[in-house]
Amino acid sequence: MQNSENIIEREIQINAPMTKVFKALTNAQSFAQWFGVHLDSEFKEGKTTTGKNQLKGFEMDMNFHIKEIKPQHYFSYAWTPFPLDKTIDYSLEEPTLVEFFLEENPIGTLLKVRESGFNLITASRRAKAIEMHSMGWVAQLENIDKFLAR
Amino acid sequence: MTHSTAARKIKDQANLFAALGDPTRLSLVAKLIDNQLHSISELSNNKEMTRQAVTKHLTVLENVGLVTKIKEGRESLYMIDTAPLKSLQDYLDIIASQWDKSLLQLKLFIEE
Repeated sequence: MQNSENIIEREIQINAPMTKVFKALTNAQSFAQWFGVHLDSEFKEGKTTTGKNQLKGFEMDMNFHIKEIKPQHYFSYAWTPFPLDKTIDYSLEEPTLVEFFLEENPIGTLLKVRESGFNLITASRRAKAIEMHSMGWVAQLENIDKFLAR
Repeated sequence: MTHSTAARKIKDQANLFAALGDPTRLSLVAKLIDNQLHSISELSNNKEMTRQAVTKHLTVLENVGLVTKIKEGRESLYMIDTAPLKSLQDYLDIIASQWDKSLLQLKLFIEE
């Protein structure tokens, strides 16, 4: 498990067979229930499912761009996490990639989620100008972290 | 953390990312990272940019708290404030904690 500069990784043990976990992830009605979002259509590879989160303080329109559905072990989509600011056109931004990995074990299923591609990295990729400097942006961020940790 | 606190924090982070999501501003931050005071002419040096354009970008950085402006006589000097960069890690931590919550909800949904 880690939250490094641009990747979040989490895992959870679920005491149920992979098929059941996979269905809960990839069936839009099930996903809507545990995730707490209203979804407008089924998940299909290459298609976008639009949704609405109505939770107070978190009201937002969410788009799930479905990448891959590989029964029973992999599911991925691209999205913008927390598209809360109505004044920003998030479609112009690089989305993050959410991937679910399922592994069967004696007590059920180990589910891992990885979210990658956060904006800072996108920003640094856009910013070719930064390469003219002796240190890259990520290296600088590490330096700042070291500086703050002193 | 309450939802509204988290929501406000995420909005702040979104603004910070937006401020950094511009090549010119990112290169200004790279120049300022040495923790020294810089004048506008220093920062616009070797650039095809007017003082006015540099000032505009510095104001954006100032608004998200990345840059502090100090008046010295008639001149404005700029210095980096690294505190908001530290909170980029907080942004990932908030999203990670949301995943912890969502995965637990999924577990309960499946196992019940």
